[in-house]
Amino acid sequence: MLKRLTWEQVRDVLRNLEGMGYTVLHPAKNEFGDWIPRQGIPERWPEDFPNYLFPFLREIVLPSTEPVFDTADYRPIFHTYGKIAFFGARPCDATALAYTDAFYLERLFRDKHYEKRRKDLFVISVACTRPCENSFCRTMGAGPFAGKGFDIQLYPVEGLWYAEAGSDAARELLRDYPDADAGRLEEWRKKVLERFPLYDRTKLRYPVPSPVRDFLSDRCFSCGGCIWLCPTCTCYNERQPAGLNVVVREQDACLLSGYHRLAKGASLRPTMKEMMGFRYECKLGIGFCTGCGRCSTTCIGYAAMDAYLEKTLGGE
Amino acid sequence: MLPGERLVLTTCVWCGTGCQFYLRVRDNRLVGVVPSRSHPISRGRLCLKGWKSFQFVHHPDRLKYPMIRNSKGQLERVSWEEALDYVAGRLMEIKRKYGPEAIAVFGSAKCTNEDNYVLVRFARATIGTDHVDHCARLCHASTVAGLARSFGSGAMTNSIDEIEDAEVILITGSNTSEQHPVIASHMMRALNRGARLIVVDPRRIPMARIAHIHLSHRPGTDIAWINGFINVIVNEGLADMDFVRNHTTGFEEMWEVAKEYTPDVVESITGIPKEDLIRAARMYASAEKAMIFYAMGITQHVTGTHNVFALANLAMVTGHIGKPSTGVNPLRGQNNVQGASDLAVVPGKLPGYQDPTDPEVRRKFARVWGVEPPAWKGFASTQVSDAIMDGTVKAVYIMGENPVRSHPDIRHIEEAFENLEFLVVQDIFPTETTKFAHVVLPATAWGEKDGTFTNTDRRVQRVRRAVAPPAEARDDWWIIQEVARRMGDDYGFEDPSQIFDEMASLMPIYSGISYDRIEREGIPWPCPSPDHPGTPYLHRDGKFNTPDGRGRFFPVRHVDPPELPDEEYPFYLTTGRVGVHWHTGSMSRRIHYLEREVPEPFVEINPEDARTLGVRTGDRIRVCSRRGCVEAKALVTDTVSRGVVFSTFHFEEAPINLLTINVLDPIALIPELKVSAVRIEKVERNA
Amino acid sequence: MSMKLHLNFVNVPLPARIVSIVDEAPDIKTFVIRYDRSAQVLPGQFVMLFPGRLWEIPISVAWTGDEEIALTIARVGKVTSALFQMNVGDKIGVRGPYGRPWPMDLLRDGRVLFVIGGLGLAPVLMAFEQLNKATLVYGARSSRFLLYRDRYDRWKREGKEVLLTVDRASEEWDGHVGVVTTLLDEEIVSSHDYAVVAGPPIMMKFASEMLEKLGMESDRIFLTLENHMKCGVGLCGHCRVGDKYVCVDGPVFSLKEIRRLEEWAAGEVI
Repeated sequence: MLKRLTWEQVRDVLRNLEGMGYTVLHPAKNEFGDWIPRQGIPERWPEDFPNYLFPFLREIVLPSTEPVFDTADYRPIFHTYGKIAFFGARPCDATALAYTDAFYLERLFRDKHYEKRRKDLFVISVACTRPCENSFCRTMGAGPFAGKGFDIQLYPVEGLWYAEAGSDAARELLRDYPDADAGRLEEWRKKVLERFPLYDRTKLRYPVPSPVRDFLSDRCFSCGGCIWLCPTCTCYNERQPAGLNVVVREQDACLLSGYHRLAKGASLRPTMKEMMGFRYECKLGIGFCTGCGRCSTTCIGYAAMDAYLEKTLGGE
Repeated sequence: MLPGERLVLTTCVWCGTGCQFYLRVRDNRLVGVVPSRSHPISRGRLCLKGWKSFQFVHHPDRLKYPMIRNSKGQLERVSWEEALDYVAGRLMEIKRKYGPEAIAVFGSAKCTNEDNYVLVRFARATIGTDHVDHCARLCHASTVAGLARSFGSGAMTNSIDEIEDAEVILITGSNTSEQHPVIASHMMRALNRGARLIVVDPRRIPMARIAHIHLSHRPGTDIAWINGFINVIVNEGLADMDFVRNHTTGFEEMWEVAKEYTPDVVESITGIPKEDLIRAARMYASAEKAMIFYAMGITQHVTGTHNVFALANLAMVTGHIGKPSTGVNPLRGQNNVQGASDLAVVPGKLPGYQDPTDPEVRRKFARVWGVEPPAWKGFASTQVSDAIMDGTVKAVYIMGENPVRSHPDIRHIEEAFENLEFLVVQDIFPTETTKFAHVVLPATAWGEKDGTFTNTDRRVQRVRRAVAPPAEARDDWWIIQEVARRMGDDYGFEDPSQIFDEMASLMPIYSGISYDRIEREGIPWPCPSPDHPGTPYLHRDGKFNTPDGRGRFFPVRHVDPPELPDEEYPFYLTTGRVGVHWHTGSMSRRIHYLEREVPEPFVEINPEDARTLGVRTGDRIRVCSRRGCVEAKALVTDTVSRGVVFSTFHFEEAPINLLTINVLDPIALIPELKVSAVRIEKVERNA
Repeated sequence: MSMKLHLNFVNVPLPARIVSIVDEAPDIKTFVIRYDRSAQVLPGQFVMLFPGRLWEIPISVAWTGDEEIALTIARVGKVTSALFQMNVGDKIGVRGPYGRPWPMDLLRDGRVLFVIGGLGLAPVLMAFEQLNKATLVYGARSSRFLLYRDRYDRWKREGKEVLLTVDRASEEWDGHVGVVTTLLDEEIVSSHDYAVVAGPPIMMKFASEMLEKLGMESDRIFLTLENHMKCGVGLCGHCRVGDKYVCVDGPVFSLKEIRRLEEWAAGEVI
């Protein structure tokens, strides 16, 4: 389903969602110049919004820390933000959501904590028109338009908003708006796509060539930033924090030596090179990288995906 | 923000870099950190300590109630009224009986400028003592003493923003990527833009692994290699003699000494191959913009101040000072050690590095404080143990420090503290020092208080309250003000911005700064007026802050450290920190991810030495000096050279400062924490 | 291998109770726990155990009884130390069983050689007792560390061969001395169709290499990996090796499968 909306009609859709009990979040620059989601319906779409540095969309379904059960009576605890309509998700993050959905809901075991929050989430992604800092989303197939992970995807085409429905709820919401011309959208998409760099995806494969791995390892200072900000990093750890009668699950980072250490103190991967190999075999092997570029923005050692790309692609 | 949550922008509590980020608050609890892309220093980057900083705040070990030690020797919960009355009463009694000079006060570089200002006023006005000091004594006392004499200002000459434009970066005695990770990040950016990196450090630290040149010298031989640099530079005609002539004094005297330090001589003292020394000296001297960074590896020596003189000489000889992306840049350890130093939490100064003997200055302070500050110079914290032992000091008031672990030669300070008539400790966690306290007062932690920190590049930045403190914990400034009021001196502060305004009015370097101006972004001092933009780099155009406006060369010679390895104690012990822990660990060891990274004490030992001793990684070893022994796990690594072992002072299980020597730099009174002699034994495990 | 989809999973333990605690060896105890899902446990599977504080750890099920599971545990870290402070009657959290069991259908078809070191006897105990044609080659640090000693005679009566060895002999020991691989030779290997290996990582590495050298094919050698599983359900990521999650794709793997993982993984597998 492809519809054509004016900005005011986009706001009507958001108002409808509010009426359905959703809290609408949209991108806004705060008083310090950082992009942070704001509650309510935006007056206008912020043209200059690149993406959030912090992966707020992941945070909603997979909080970096959440209580899981009570240690006294083993009663499950569900942390939730309530029903959220996330307006202005970038396509890379919507694609990441589709990945974490598959990881948490469609494998052998299904994660109830994730599932509960996911059901309460309505995602309205907005297609990108310019590549943002350090990104290579087109190469990874996660941008500038999402193929999945959204309820509605909006395209800012010639002063109007083309709306693509990705769920039954969205089809229902958009039903009465005029149809849009798919051909025109295709043309627009082609034009936009040209602005986004495309690298040789075949080079972005595991295993990491060892000179690249050594280069990255020498420059990794184990801050975990690339992982704390990664929209597709799903590893977690469970523990009871001192002084609380709950077990929390909190995001864990495979570039920390403690992640790999066993009870006796020995490590499964005692060197940074091994940890780096472990990370890349996930990001470029069995896991997924959207090419959002957050890891490169936050990397203290300038040794994240952008360095990987530069090193593997050489002079290209 | 996400429903039910709020973000509070604040300055990081760990190192002096001054990163800012948002604390996530949910139900009056800190639940996470969101980096700030727009902050000029951190730019969306944080180290692991920053990312997980919030976790110590809610730890159940937090001190929650005032406590007084009862007749049975146990700390017993009391009301604030009772505690404050008791503290004020005892202090007045001691002051009456022995005079104000029998009371010493320790401030804290972890606390805000406002807390420290109130403490300074409390010490110098309410009590009337100049025995005021803080942990800068243990880190950059030699910097303050050294750079103040050489350049006229004891602080980082340039700013973090300028690093990315440097052509050569010289790091010595700073494990930058572990201790100031975000500053290291700016260096990495410079490297990506073509800068060259020279690291001079006995250990093969991470920055050394990516350096263009790594010079590994014997611990305690810094003056030799620095003089060696100057020797090569002058002899090869690479010195900026115009700069030397126009902007400095004392070159000839300095050269009389430095000319003896030929590359051959330097090689024999330091172990640095002369070819490497020459290559590095040329690289530093021939760059247009070269920055020197240093930290404890330079300062924590008996020659600490001389080491700093030497670095200042090196920068002046090449003219790498007074311009963007140059200078001599001490990396301050604590989040607010610059601020605590600015506020004169050191003896013999008044806030803003003002001279307490200057009548004009004395009058200015007396107008605000009601009394003139003491004109005499008090003890450094490292002298306080001796002063207690000889009966000069009877009472100590400590705000947020743990000297019983951080000071050298722990046995000595423990003995001294046992002899105190009265010890008050105001802190957030129980520490080794609270064990000796007669009164323990629970303070608010970072995240619970408003105020400002001044970071290593002199930027005054806001710190904001995000959550309420636990139980009865109170702001440090409030506690001190309440004690002072009971001693008959009412400051009348109602909030930190009022305190800031008073201190700024007394300090010319801060006087243009106010909360309104730094609401969005910090300002680097000197900032003399409300329309002044602040000063990113000092000594512009070679105009130094010395009386004659010239930089001063000081001739300095290498002298051997007070204790060298010998047959009985054949290893050098050098101490430091790891990236994930902070000082005595009272905060960092209560953060799960940090504790998990390095959960136990360790001693780094070179693979060849390990083989000789039959030691493998994970074996327990005993490290003994003339002062004591500690046990820890061995970590066999080529990070340390042969004959050198390295350990940290984070762990109460292995308090490494039992081993270090209590010998002080005669100028800065900083202890020699970087060189002592030890022997290593393998601890045989019972089968 | 059959594996049913657990749709009702929440990562929360169920309350269970400790019914008895047996001292097995120095710092090794068996905890018998009343747990109503005991009937679902297959040989080689593990449960996640929560001692009421700290965090959960994976423990192989040694044997099961009527609504009971027995877990043999060595004190090595914080959680096991907490467990060792618990008493009979205490509440304890249990989740599971989880993991790929030993391939019992396959093993029943042939003669199976168990090459086991130390605590490795716990995860193979059910499999060994359920098989008719099985030989146990078992080594421990010293005789005090040989587990389940009261069962050896019964096994011998059932016609199973039991070969024991210790690394260090005490005075009362008159049996074989040496690491477990010293009991392996071509004869014993050729008289068996499959091998099951469990024990400390270094022992498993040498034992499986030796079995292969003595003629056992790598797809007939089965091992149980002890990576650090934190969730048990393939989500937390800690136990991943290459493209496999040890907690759901294992912990039992054939040596052939492990070799494939080795190619994948940057780190050590065995």
